[in-house]
Amino acid sequence: MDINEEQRGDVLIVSPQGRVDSVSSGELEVKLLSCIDGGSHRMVIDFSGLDFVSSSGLRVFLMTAKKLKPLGGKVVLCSLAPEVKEVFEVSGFASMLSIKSNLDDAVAEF
Amino acid sequence: MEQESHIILQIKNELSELKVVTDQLVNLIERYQLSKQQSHDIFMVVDELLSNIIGHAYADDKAHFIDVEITVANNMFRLLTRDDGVAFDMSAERDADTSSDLENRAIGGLGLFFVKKIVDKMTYQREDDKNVLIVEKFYLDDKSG
Repeated sequence: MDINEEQRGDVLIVSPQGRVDSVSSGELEVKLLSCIDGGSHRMVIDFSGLDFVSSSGLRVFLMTAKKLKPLGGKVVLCSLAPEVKEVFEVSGFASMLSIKSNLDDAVAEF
Repeated sequence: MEQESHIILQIKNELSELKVVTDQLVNLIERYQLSKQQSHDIFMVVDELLSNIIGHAYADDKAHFIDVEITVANNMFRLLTRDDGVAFDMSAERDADTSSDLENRAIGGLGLFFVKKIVDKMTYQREDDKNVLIVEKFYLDDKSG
């Protein structure tokens, strides 16, 4: 899957494209872990290029939040399509992860 | 446009095989101009159920084949899976606990929780040492989600 990156100040913006499903979630996990290992502890994941997230995708975002917490870091998600946002809401993840409606609001969280 | 379309294929019990299914689904969904919600529902059901079978149905490391039959129309979709894994009735599984906190959340049953949330009908049968699962979702009209 294509995963774009942009550094804005000390915040890393990661923008995966397409679908986070059982096949692609492993690739996204490797990418996010390498960003964390590389010292990026303030992270925004921009969902504007994503049209599908499965439970395996949720697992990756949860893993990212759990990895960053003890490091004093944080991940903020933004720009979720309504169908994708519903996945976070019905699973209860929306109340446990920081989710913003747009990129500027997400970056402003840091 | 035809009343309904079918995808009938057989995949190996490897996660990478899901791409074969989703590539065909993308074409079908474009042809029917389904809403984003309908598309997301179909991809969710197919991804969660097939990945569950591939990841959990087999007690050995051998290659197995899974029959996949998908029917898509303007107002419904149906997925049938047939696998020779250990007997397992997904329709009888307990839902995931979605009230626990971030640290204690068990991820395992979440996929099945989504599937049950989406579909209207889920039937399971053990036939000739095979699991046969059929799920169906009906939409009130062709633009609804």
